[in-house]
Amino acid sequence: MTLPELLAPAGDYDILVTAINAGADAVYISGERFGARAFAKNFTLEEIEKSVEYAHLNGAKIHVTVNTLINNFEVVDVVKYLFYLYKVGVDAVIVQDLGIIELIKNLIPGLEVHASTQMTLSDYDCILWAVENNISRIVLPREISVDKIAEMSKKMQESNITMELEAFGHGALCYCFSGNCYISSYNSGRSGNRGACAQPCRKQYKLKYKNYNVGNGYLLSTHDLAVYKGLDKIEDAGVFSLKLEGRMKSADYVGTITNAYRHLIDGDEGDYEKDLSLVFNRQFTDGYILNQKPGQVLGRESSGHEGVYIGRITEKKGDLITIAKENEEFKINLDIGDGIGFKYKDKIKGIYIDNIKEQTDEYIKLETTRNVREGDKVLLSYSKSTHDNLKKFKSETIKQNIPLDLDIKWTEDLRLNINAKFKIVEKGINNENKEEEFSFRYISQTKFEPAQKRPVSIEDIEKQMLKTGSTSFYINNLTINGMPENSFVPIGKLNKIRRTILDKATELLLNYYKPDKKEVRATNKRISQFVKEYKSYTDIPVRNEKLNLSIFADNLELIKMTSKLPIHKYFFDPSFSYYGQEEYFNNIKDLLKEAYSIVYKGKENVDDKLVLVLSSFVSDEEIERISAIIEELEEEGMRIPIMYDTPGIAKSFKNKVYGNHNLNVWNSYNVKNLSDAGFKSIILSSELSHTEIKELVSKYQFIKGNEDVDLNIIIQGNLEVMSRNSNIKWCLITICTVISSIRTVYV
Amino acid sequence: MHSHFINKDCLCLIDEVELIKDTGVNSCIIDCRFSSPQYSSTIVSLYSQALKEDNTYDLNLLKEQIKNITLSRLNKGNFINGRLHEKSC
Repeated sequence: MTLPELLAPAGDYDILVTAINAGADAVYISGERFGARAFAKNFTLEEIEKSVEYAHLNGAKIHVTVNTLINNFEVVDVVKYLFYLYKVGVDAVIVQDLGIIELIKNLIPGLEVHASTQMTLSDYDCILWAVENNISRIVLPREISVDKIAEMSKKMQESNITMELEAFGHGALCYCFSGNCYISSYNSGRSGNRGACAQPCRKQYKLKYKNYNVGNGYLLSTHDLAVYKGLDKIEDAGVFSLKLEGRMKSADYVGTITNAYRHLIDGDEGDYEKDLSLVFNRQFTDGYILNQKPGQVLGRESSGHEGVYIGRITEKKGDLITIAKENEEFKINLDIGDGIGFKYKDKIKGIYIDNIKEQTDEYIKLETTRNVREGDKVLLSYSKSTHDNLKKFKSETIKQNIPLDLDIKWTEDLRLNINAKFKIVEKGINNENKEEEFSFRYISQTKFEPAQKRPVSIEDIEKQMLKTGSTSFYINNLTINGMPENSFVPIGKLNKIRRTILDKATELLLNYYKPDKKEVRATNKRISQFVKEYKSYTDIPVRNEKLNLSIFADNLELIKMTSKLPIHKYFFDPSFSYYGQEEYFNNIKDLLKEAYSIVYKGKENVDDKLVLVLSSFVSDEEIERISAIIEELEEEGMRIPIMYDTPGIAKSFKNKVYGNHNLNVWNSYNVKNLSDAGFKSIILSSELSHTEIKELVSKYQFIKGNEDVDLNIIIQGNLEVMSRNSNIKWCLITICTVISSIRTVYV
Repeated sequence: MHSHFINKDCLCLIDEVELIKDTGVNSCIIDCRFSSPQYSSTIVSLYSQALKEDNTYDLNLLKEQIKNITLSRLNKGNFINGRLHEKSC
């Protein structure tokens, strides 16, 4: 198996060290601001720099998440932060905000950008948009299947497009499409798009229908993803990087899953599946990526970790209990120090084992003072041996991975004349590796002198030169020619020469990952100019235009009933009326005709009053079908713009395209990006405050250029808080909670 | 197929029309999906009155009218105070 990149999470520096030592090809981390895990420990600027160095010395990469949405008040800070990341040699930033993408494209084009899963980029138009926006990788939504990924890869190959695809392979799943979830924001003021998700989908709910309870439990909770059984399919689909989730998790967790996936990807034999089961999980699902259905992905019985099932208590005599081993998947032998849980109904009581009276392949006897019963389930929740094995990953270690060739000669005045050569190889798409060769010459200050006693031998020089110690290099080829006979140099001097060469090689290695100094200076100049200009945008424009009123409507009756009112636009969203794709496509054309006749009443369409809203997350095929219908209607004299929520869509339609709320527009650069992508009208995020909206509108006046985009805000309605793959169409969140406490901002 | 979850509480900014105008946006939108046409058309009608250039209506009274017909609790989302967990926004 040759999945090019295993990407591990790290919430602090110690975890980063563990992840790299356990075999991660790259690690994603977050600084103290602008990362989507506001409550993780996260990295100071100094720690980011230290992490970059540690990773690069080990041939690994660092991706920094700058994946919150930002408002206009934060633009200058985020630009300065991005410049810092660029300077220190961060390999990529993971971004959600289209405005940040716009800023990087114009100000720091040398900084590699990965489009966060929060952007929900999944159609071919999005890939084209991503290419135009200097994005080198798309982190795919967790709802996308390997078949769809394979289709995307094929299309890209046919079109000669180079775009890395990253897919989630292990860890927690969200209930909702990432980036389109507002339940935490609207109900507790903690926005998932600002890294502050309160995890409402892990709480217990009661589902009510007409005041009757129709469901209890962790209704919004999902199992955890684990794709180890389908790694070959994921690789075949063209995935470049397999991402492990868990920036809030411990070093033990990250070490265990990274080590397991490293070995599973490399095809090593071992008990790695059991290791994965032992660390925190909500029971595993293959996920949507391996074509599981929504019902298989949801885990409504529990939202916590239970452990590996061992068996049941079959006998209890006083404190002595007998546990029958019933797990057919894993052979389990318990040790002193292991943690086990006894499950009775929904409750689990845990102990660390401090005695084992007897153990066979069939049963184990041990004593416990816990109040347990015959029939209780027993679960292994902590393995001391697994934990102990992780200790080897916890200290800083430089892997000697890079072959270094040394060719040693002597100058006429008996100095060492050493030619050093090494190559850095980076994995690329379709096994096309990127290689860069480095060589340098070193002439020693130290001279060899005629030996007074024992001369230095070739073996002595070899022995000293082969010691590459805690560097990234090992000596691959060592050639020694023209050694003067009967000559001498102190061994200490030889060691110093070796260290100088290794220091120089290390410097070249670290600089390889950093931007060119000239480019840094040019970038710095651009940013200084930008900041100066941005701060000068202070005039608040005076509004003279009338404030228009538009509505989202999902039925014709409402359009009829409001047709005499001064409605600016009807954003017509009939998708909720249909239960399947075919039903939708069989009816949509006639429905649009009818809506058109109600809205325009036979008059000419001069203002595109009727706009068709597309459902989120539609496929390439659906976009083609709807595009064909819109064209047919246009040929019949009915021009209907569309509204959608991914940035690449505008180029698929001849008519105007409007941006829907899920585009998460938070700042003026975001608007500019969408305007350049062809959008004519945009709904600003409902997560914004009045002050933020005002600042956005004000700043946009200065940067918009010749293009103008209508800016809209939603001011009334029960807003959508989640959308997801499912078998049901929609429901009102009256469910809310009995056990959890969702707070609402009541006014 | 996708499912859509709708907030049980209703965003209502009818009494903040002046602040909305102050933002400089071009349009404001009422989300009438998932509601009955009768209810929605009444809401739209009330907002049409509130947004009239020569509005003489008492906005608080218009809000009271919405309160009287809605089944949801009304809120102002983040519009006035921003996101609660952030110190300033």
